[in-house]
Amino acid sequence: MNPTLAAVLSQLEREDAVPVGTRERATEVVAAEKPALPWYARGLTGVYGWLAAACFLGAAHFLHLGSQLSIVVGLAAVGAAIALRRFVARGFFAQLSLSIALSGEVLAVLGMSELSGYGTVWPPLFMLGIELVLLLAYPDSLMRLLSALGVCSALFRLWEHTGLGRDLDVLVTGALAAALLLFHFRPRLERTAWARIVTPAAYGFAIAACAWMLLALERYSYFGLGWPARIGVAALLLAQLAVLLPSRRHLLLAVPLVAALSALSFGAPGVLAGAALLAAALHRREAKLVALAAGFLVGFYGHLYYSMDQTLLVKSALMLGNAACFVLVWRLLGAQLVDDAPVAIDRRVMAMALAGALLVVNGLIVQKERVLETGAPLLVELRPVDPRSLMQGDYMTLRYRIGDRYEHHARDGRMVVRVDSQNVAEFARWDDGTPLKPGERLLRYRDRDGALRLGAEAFFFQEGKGALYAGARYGELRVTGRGDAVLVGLRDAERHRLGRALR
Amino acid sequence: MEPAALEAPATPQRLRALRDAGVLTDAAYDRALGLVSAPPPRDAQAAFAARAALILGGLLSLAGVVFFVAHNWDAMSRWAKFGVLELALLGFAAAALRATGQLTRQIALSLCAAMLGPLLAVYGQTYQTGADPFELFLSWALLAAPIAALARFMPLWAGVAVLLDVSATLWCLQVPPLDVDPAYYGGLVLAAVNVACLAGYELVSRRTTWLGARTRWFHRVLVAGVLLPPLPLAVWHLAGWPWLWPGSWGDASAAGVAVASLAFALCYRRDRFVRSAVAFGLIGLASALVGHRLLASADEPFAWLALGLLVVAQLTVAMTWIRRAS
Repeated sequence: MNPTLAAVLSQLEREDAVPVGTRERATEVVAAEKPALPWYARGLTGVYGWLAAACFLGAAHFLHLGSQLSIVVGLAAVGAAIALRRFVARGFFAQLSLSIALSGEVLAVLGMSELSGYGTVWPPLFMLGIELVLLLAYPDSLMRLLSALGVCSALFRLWEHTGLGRDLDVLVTGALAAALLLFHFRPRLERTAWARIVTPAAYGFAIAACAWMLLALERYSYFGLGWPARIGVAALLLAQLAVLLPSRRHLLLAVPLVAALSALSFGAPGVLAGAALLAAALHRREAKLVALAAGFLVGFYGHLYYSMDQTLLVKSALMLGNAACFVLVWRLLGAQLVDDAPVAIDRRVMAMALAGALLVVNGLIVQKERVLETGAPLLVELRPVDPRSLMQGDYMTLRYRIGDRYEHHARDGRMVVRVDSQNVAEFARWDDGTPLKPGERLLRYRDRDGALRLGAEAFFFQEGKGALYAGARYGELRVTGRGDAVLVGLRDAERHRLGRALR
Repeated sequence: MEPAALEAPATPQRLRALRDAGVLTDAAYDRALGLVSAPPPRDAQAAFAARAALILGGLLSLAGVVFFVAHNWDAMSRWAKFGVLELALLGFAAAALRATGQLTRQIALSLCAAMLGPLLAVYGQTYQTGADPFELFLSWALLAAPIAALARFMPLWAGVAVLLDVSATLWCLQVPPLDVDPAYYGGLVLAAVNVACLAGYELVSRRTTWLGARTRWFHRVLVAGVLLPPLPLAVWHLAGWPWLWPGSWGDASAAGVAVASLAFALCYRRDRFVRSAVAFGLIGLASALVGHRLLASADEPFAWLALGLLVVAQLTVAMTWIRRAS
């Protein structure tokens, strides 16, 4: 997202800010520079740097250093790593210094935890001190990012010690505010001694804010977020927009939109935080921040699906409301402005693709409806449990007692069942083509991993209605003459139907 | 024409290097910093914001529909559910036809393809065909592929590849084709699916425009999709950790990662991401193998120290190799 060096030098030449020949000299300097590592290679360094640090910690563990010596050795390792890295920028010793610094800080903090007790305020305070030293003194952006994350982690643990409750509103809002402020003032800070730590620190705070928000959304999390975070993050988004938008009139237009997004936010203001990070990314031309915001939003909605504080119906309405806000923004910004002219589309191919898709789906529906139409009722005894599917909601896993067969049988085939006067089925024999006797029917099965399946092993029900089906003892099937079955409902021990059934 | 070196982004680090080398005076450096840190022009900002809003609006709409479908509302008949979803699908198709911009059309077609998922999910809910059956995701991928070809939109093709991966994973779990724990061969199956996707991408994208413009990220994602799934089992096996004893499946996973790494290193010689992924896999394999031998034969403090140094040495070689690709 940054302009090229050529563009910047052209502008400087136009303004007479650089003499003739600057381009040639700049070309020499840039051509001589060793290529910087991209983010994924830095990530690789981070992962294996930590692995090597874990190995060094393993060695220290088997040396049985004791708490006081651990602190001394850990601090000495951190100091040595900083010194080593300041002398050597690349190669084996530079990589080694990263791992020594990581293992040193963990060793020292563990030593302090042992010495002062794990539940006291001293280990996080000690950790905060080490992380700040590394952030300021270790000359490497990856280590600085890790140290910024370490600072946030120490602050989190200190927050736990304050006893200010389980709400993370202050932490989340504070970290997001710190990230946005650092990105905003980066151009000024670039001219100061803080130049090298501002970007890693900004990313550290942004990552921490996202992680804490996801933590607050966890189903079994001790922590939560309330209205203060919603208002705080909305205010931050508005402040970021105030920097970006060209006039007060535009800002006044943005206020109701942000208010609507805030009102439509779920237990945590994820959409607002994502939008604020995107706005900061746009303002500071930060492509990696766009990726962070996108990754956070994906994680946020993934967590939201499984969080239990609102029903899926409410979440669906909130989400469609959020979508409407963004579509409105798109329209307000002049939808056509942003788009290239469309490539011609072959309408016949499109018609065929859509017709094919709808034909397949509707064909499947017709097939099942035919089974419902022509199938005979059959009750099969159950033994149930209940989870939530990837995208189909709540369901009860069904196992049929009729499927508890351990004698030799074909992997996929049909069994013959005997049906009593109340349509309850019992296993009679495996189908071998012998004509059926009166009261006998065919039932198709598949053997999957030693369990017989009838093709109806899950019963989906409306969210929140699990208790209604808790007493289910029979699965009600419609079965065609060929043995194909569709599960239409559940019945209790007295064979009374539970809830709604297909037919 | 500008020298290639000057086409590099003007990052603050580069500008600092130019100042330190005496190419830029302090005043010129300040001005240059001001230029690169200024927000983009207004029209570029509006374009970015509108694109982001359109993409967010589309994804949130889709998520809203998925959440609604998952609620499985009893009060709504099955015909109403099927009808609403099919109408939405046709509505997005109509929006794609009427679209006056390429991105708008591609997003409308993506939503059209995405609506097939909720439609198949409602089919499964209604007729109780099982929770997350692999057939649902496979059918979704196969029915969405022609629409992706129409859209010529790489992100939609990436979605199709993800659906194929999900259906392959569920297939291993639901219909285990072999008589051993699917954890032993699941990674290899996923790697095979992604190899097929990668081969398809390389063949088709060079001959037709169905996949849209060739991008670097698509083959990179697929390379990671080949190398990463079998890696954990291979490392577990080579490190000799307890609880899982994959035997020859562990050997096969390790061999698969090694062979694929070699092939990718040869096929994508200049790609730094591919080199990083290959290095990630090979360092993992080598560290597990040597670590297992070291810890079995040497004193523990020495073995751990030596293993740590070995990891650092491999990392140093890997970084040099990755830098050389640029």
